Amino acid sequence: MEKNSFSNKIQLIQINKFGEILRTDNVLIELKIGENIFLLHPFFECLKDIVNDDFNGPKNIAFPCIAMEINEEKFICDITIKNERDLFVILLFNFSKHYQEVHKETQEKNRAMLKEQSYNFENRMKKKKD
Amino acid sequence: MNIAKKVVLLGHFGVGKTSLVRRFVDMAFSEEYLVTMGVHIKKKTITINGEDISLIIWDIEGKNNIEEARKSYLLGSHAFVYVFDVSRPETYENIESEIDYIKEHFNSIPYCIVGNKADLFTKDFSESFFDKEVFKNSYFTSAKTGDNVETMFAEIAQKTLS
Repeated sequence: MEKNSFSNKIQLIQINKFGEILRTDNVLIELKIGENIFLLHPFFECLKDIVNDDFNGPKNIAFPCIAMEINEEKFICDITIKNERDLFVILLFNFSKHYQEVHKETQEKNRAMLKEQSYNFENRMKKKKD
Repeated sequence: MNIAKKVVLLGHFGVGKTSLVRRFVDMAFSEEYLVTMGVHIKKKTITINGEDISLIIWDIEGKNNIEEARKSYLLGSHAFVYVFDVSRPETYENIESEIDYIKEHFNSIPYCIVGNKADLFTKDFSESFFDKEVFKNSYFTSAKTGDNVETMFAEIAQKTLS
């Protein structure tokens, strides 16, 4: 296992097109060389279509704000997949704290809008009855 | 052999995407509204015509337009479920343009339209209210009661096999 070279919030994982883990620094999630990452979480299972030979999409793909629970730990990560000549590098950026803060604000705003729209619906139903 | 299909739920915030997934995967429901940030991904395996299919369901944050959705979330999708809230016109008044967008950018990908919160239907407000052509083959579901939820997911799963 490599020592972390970025920060304590970023994990680097290298896999082949079969999902086999070739390298990992285990900053966020404890993984073993040789394990299959497709089995780790449904998000990674979806990567099967991206790492196969038939994929015609971009070489670098960013997936922001992915909520995951692995080994009973919850994270909200930005995940980047980089294709480097049939080897794939997965970078997990743990932005849990940031997203939890944004979540609070969005929750309040959305709740207020839903209350207003629910009130409008009830009024419409009352008018229909009258 | 187990087949896996990525199904993405789309629609405005608060229409019940997360509740539909919770009902289908966990057989649970909560009245409390909790905003979805980014995407939550859940998996459930069902049997269609004797074949096991794993639905990997991407429950993405609510957006007023599909164009605002993060493109990477839609990559590799095998089906879309467009959800609206029957009690909120804001969530279905642009549905035709939303479906046009899906047809234009993902023309080989099956989709279905779901009017959720059908438990709010009354004698005076029912499915017949949604008589426009675009709603013709829609599902009306209730994540609260469970009505039509399994049927909807089973039928969209079936479409991914065609």
